[in-house]
Amino acid sequence: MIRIYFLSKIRLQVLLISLFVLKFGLLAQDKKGHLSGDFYAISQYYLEDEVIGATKLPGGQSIGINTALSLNYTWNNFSAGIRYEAYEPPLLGFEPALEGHGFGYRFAQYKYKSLDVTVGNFYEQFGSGLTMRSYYEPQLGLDNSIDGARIKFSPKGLDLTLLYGKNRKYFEKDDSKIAGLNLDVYLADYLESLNQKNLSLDLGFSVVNKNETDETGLNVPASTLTWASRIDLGIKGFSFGVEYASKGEEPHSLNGFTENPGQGVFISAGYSQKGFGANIYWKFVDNMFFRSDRESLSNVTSAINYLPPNSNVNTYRLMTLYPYATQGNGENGVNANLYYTIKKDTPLGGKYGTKISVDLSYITGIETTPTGAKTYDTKFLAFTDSLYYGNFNVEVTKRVNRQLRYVAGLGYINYNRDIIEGIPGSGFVKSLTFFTDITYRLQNRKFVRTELQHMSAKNHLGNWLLGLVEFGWSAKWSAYLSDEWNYDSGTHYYAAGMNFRKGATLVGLSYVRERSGLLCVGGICRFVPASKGVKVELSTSF
Amino acid sequence: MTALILKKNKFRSKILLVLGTLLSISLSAQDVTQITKGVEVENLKGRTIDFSEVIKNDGGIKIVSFWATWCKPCIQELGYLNDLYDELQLDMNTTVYAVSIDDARSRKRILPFVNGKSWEFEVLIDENSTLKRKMSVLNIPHTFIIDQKNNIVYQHNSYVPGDEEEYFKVIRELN
Repeated sequence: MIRIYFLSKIRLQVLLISLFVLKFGLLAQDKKGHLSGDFYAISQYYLEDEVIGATKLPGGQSIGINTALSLNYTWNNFSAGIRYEAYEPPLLGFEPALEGHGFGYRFAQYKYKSLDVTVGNFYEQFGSGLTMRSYYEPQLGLDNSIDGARIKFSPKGLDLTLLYGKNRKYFEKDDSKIAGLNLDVYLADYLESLNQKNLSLDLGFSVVNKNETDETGLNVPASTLTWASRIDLGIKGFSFGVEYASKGEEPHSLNGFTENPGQGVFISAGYSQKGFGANIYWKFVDNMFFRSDRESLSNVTSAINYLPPNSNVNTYRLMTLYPYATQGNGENGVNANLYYTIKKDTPLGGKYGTKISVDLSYITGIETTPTGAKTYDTKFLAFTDSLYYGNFNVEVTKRVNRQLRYVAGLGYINYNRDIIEGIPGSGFVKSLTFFTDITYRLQNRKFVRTELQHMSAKNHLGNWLLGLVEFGWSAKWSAYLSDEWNYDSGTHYYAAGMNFRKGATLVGLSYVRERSGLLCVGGICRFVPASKGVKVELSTSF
Repeated sequence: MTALILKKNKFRSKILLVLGTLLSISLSAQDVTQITKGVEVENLKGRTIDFSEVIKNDGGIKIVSFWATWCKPCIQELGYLNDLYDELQLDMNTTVYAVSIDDARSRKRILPFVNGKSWEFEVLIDENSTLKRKMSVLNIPHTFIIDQKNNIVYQHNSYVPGDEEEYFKVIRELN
C-alpha cells in the first residue's frame, strides 16, 4: 500500500518537474514549440443547516475539492496534452465514484496537410451528436472522451473521420468497444453553380458500432449499430436541415431493457436578415440513449451519443428551478425562437436600438402501443396529450445611454415533475416569473448591477422573490450580495461573495446558503443537494 | 488514523506542487497560429475553416471572444463591442471574431440570433469546443487580443461593464 502511494507520488512529481523544466526550455527556445494550459480549483467548506437540509459530505467530511490542470504542447505539426484531475473528495452533487486523482486525459496528435491522426483521449462529434458525441463538461463531472485512435482526412469539400476506442468513465474506461465513421460532403465546394447562387448544400452520413460483452445473463446482443444521415441547405437568409438516426436493438438499464430499435429525427428551419432572425427546431426521439455500459444507471457517465433538450436555456436564477432534462426513451418537441432589433434613432429604438427575443418550447411524450413484453410500436412524429414541458419567454434588452442598460422580461413554465424528476404523483408545476436586470456604469470603472426576480408558482415550493446587487469598484474587484427568498415557507437562500480578476485569472470567495435543485448543462442534469458554507474558486489560463 | 494523515499529506503535497508549478510559469506571448494549427471551426455559412488560417490571413489586430447564445455577460460584452465596431474597424484596424461554443442544443439558433441582434463582426462556431480547449479557455466569456504578428498580447476571463475600455487601451498601444 505504502509502495503504491510513493510510486504515484513520485510519478506526479517527476511529471510536474519535467513540465516545469520543459517550460523554461521553451521560453529560452521558443522555436521548439509552445506550451499552454489552464488550471481550476473549486473548493467548499460545508456546514450543516437543519432548516434547508444541508449536510456535510458523505462520510462526514467538511471540505470537498474539484481541481484539474491541463497542459498542451504544440510543435509544428505535432501536439500533445495531458490533464491531471483530483476530486478529494468531490463536491456535493458530483458522483462519489469520481473520488480520486489521476490523468483523466492525455493525447498525441499529428497533422499533415489534410490528414490528422490522434492517439490517446480525444473528443469527437458526428453531425448533431445523435450517433456519437464525446465531450468534457466539468460542471457536471462529465468526460466521456474516447481513449483509442482517430484518423481524419479533410481535403477540399469533404471531411472523413474514422475512430476506435473506449469511453472514459471516472478514472477508468467502460469495457465496450466503439468504432465509428463519419463523412461530410460540402457540395458547394464542388459545384460552382451553387456558389454563384449563394447556395450551400451539405450532406452527411455517420455510422457507429458498439460491442459490449453480455454479462447480464439476459442474452442481449453484444453489438449495436447506429447510423444517421443528414442534409443541410442554405440559400440567402434561409436555412433548412434534417437529420435522421436509427439505432439497433440495445437493451440497457435506462430503457428498461427493451428489445425495440431506436430512432430520432431533428428538423430545423430558419430565416434571418439584419435586425431579424427566426428559427424553429423539431426533435423526435424514441429509445435513443446509446450507452457504453448497459447496466449503468448514471445519466452523466457511459453515454456514447448526445440528445440535446429541445428547450430554451433559462439563465435567470429563479427560472433555473424548473429546467428540462432530455427524455431519451421518448419525447417529441418543438422549440421556436425569434430575435428582433427595433432600429436605432426611432422612438422605441432609442440611440442604440432595442433588442427583443421570444422563445417557445413545447415537449410531449410519444405514442406507443405494446406488442410484447419488451417490444412496442411507435407512432412516428406524433405528439401526445402527455405534456412534459412548456415554456414561453419574452425578453427586452435596451441600452438607454452610455451609463444605463437594462433587461426586462417574463417567463412561463409548465413543468411535469413526474417525468422530469421521476417522482410519480408529484404533478405539474406552473410558474410565471418576472425579471429585471439593470446595469449602471459610474466613473472610474465602477458599476452597479441589480437583479430583481419574482416567481409565482402553483404546487411544489410555491412563490419566490430574488434580489441581487453587484458592485464593481475597479477593473479587478467586484462583490455581490443576493437573497433568494421562498416567502411561502419563509426560507432565505443567500450568498455574499467577492471576485478578483486579473488577465485570465479569476479568484472568487463566497459564503452561500443554496437550495437544492437540478443543475442541467445541455439537457444532462445532476441533482445538487442544499448546501451551506464557504466556497473558494480559482481558475487561470496561461 | 495513520492512513488518514498519509492521505491528507499526499493530497496537500500534490496541490502545492501543482500551484507551485503554475506560479513558476510566466506568461509569454504565444503565437496563436501555432497553438491552433489545423483546428477547424465553422463560419455562419456552415463552411469548415482552419482557424489559424483565418487569423494568419487577417493581418490586423484581432479580438477573439468566446461566447454562447445562453451566456448573458458574453452577450453584454459583444453588444458593447458591436456598438463600437465602426471605431474598432476604421480607426484601430481591429476585427472582432466571436467564437460561439453553442452545442447541438442551440447551434441552429446562432445565425438568427446574430442577425436578430444586428451584430456586424465575424462569427465562428466551435460546436464541440475543440478550439476552446486548444486556447485553454475554461469559462466564457474569455477574450483574447492578438497583435498584427498573431501573438496573444492580452487575455481576459469573465466580463464586467467597462472591460472594453481595457481592450481599447491595449489596442491603442498596438496601433
